[in-house]
Amino acid sequence: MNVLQDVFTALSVGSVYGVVGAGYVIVHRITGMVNFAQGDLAMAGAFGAVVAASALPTGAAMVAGAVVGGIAGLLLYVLAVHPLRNQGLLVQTIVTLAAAIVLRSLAQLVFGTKPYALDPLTAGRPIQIAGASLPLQALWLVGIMALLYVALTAFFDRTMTGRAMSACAINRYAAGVVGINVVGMAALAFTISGAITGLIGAVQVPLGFATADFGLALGLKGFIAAILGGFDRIGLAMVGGVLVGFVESFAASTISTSYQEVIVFGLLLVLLVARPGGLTRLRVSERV
Amino acid sequence: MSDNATRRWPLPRMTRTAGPAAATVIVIAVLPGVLGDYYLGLGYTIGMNALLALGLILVTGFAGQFSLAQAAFYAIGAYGSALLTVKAGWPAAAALVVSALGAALVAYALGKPVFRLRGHFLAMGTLALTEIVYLLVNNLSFTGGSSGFGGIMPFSLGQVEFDDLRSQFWLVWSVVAATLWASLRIRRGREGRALRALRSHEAAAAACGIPISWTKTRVFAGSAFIGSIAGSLYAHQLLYVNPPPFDVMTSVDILAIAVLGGLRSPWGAIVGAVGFQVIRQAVDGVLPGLFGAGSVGAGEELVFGVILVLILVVRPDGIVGALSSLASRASAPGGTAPVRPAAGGRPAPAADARPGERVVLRARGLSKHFGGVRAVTDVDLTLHEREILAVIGPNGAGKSTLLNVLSGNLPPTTGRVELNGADVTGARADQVAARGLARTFQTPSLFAGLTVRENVLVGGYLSGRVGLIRSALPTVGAVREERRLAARADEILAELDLSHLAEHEAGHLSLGQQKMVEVARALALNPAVLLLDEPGAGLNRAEKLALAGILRGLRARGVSLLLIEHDMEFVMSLADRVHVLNFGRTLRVGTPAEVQADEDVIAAYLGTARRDVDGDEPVEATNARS
Repeated sequence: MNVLQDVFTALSVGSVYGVVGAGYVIVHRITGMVNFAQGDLAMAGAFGAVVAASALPTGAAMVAGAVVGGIAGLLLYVLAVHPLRNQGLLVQTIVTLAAAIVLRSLAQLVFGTKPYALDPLTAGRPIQIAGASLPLQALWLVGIMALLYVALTAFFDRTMTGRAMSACAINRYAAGVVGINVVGMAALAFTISGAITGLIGAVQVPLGFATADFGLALGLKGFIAAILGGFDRIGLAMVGGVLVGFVESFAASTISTSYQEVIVFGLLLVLLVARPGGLTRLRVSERV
Repeated sequence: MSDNATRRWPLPRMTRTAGPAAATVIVIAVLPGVLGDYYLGLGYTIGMNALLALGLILVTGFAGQFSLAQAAFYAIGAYGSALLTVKAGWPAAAALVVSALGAALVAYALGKPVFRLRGHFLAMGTLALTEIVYLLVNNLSFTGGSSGFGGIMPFSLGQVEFDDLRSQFWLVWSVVAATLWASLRIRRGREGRALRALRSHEAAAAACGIPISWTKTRVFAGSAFIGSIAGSLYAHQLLYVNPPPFDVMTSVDILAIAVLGGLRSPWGAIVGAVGFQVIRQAVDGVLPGLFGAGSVGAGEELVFGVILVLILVVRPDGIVGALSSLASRASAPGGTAPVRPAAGGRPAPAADARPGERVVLRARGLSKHFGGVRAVTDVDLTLHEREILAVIGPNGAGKSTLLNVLSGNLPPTTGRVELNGADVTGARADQVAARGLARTFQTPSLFAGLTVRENVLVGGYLSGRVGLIRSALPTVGAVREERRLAARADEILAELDLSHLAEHEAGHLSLGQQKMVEVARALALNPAVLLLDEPGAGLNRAEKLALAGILRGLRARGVSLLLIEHDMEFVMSLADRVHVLNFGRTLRVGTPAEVQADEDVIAAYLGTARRDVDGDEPVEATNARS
């Protein structure tokens, strides 16, 4: 067992979970919904990049993945969620699950069940440190997560649109009263959430491949990240994603690869039962 | 009871639920005799799906909680029965019951904390649960891993063995019919009303004494019990268990069945299961020709995913919802509720209706802050027995927040609340209600989808004892209790002159009528303390006079009243004392005359330095805003 190797693996898969978790947080903050298609938006981005890579260089293909994820998110909102705006959260949440099934099965019909690969963004050997190897693509994943954190924080705190979205997060009714286009903000939230999820889904393909059904497990792990972030904080959700990555890679190396997913999903149940505020309640209790 | 009511309910309650169920039993008895093996097998599958969907409708349709755990409970039943009968040699019936109890226990352990803290995360939690169970049975050695294990005997009950398709068809459909009947009875009974109420308006349901998370947890456990029974029957039919039938897509299929049929009615499970099978047969016939044989699995999923989206967007209450709205359009009493001239004021109360010395509700140093917003700060408040206390203040003064804290709908930030001498600080709304406090809400908060009588019956929740199981089985006690609750509800409706509205859907009433029904619902709690948040808003003058009479009558009966009101004429004529709030703090407490003459109060209402104004003017200003 090589601890450093586990850390490297945790960082690279954890960045993916973290960004997917941030995707949940953005939609939840603005609309109060849990989007069951979140993992499948990453899958849509991954396949968008795979298809685009036949015509574009890898970097541009991954941006195309982000675009596909964003469009898928927007369509999800416009076609399924928005028509149900008067039906309450239960029905809206069910419809995101239905949309996830549609996306997943559509991908399976088009691409089959086999995994697809992409070239990494930077060619070159993995970095070797003390017997552990870190692929260059993993650095990209961590870097993109960090970049997204900075960009999203700046967007929500500094721009007028971002602040309007934050206002919706605090009080949708009051936001509407002061003239914020609540529907537009919700559509934008789904689009941004889909785009960042699609991007990270595309960037992880060189390491983790793209398969039609990887959205389910990814969605659950991203959800754990979001719970750890209190379903409210993008940065904490990203930290949470890396924590999930740690649990997963250490479970695989110290216990068994057959039970690594059981342990990770078990973590979700433990969190829901024991600490539904995730890492946030820790902060609150420290402050008080 | 008015003759109107008797005409609309021609049959006693039992017969209405038993009739359709009895018809189902007859169909079940006859079908195995006439169907060939192919259709019998199909019918068996439909029955199994219907049973699973019935469990889901209980938690998702009745309680409004999105669960994807049905496949997990199905697995617990199947593997539980298989392991207990094959490896431990238990009789099949005992294994079925123990597995179902185990599934219910899992649901309880997960549901109780989740419903208390983050109910809307249940769906993800149950998705994880299903994945975990699926991965476990795939990996554990004693479940036979991915190949599973066999050697299971057919289900038997004493000497009776269900060893051919015909008898198994009969068995599963008998269980379906029994579950359907039980679900229909639950829906009509005390628990079902409570569930529909909390789905419609959680805060109001809690104020009626319904323990919200405990009620959801019990129904979730019930759905687990049913799902597990389906799994046990499945194992005894196939005589073999392996993981594939228990993966997440099974939960999604069951959801599709329930949504297709209609989540709101148990019949949706039956209709949905039939529809699902019809669509599946059609898809399996068409798809291989279009995309090749390999496309069936993904193709089916795609079709059901699209159907799920379409049904939700077009008709969220499914086929049964569409049919029943057609039926009710044909038979419903037309349009809006009838308006009757108000009955006018009631006779003035007798002399004994003066406030007593005893304090029934006391708040000390009560504060409620929302982040940086101090809605209520350091308020002391007392309410004596047989007193009418009015809480007034400009908009945003913290009146409704104060009331929400007193009723347990919001926990206080600091301070203490005593009700009848008992400390209820931080108690939940249903616990406060159980100690004799009832309330109404500022915005109309009747349970939509329930009739006026049912709304009042929900108010009587605390005077009943019949739970889920006794609701399902019509024991003598349950029937008698239901009759007693109904009589009490009718009595209250008659007292408030609302009998003519009893069978109308609450959401269709005028604002004034809704306000009065809310008072009726609160009275059904037999409260010692009644909190009213702007009971007069939206009432016309005659209705207000009637309301004032009713409130005086309540006081004469020993009820203590606290009301928030903007109409100063109404307040000053009714209240014994007035408690004025401004910016969350107590400004003045005194008799109506004292408060009316107070310069600070006048300044607070007009927002200016003292001016000589007529007492009526602030009334107009505030009325215009509310």
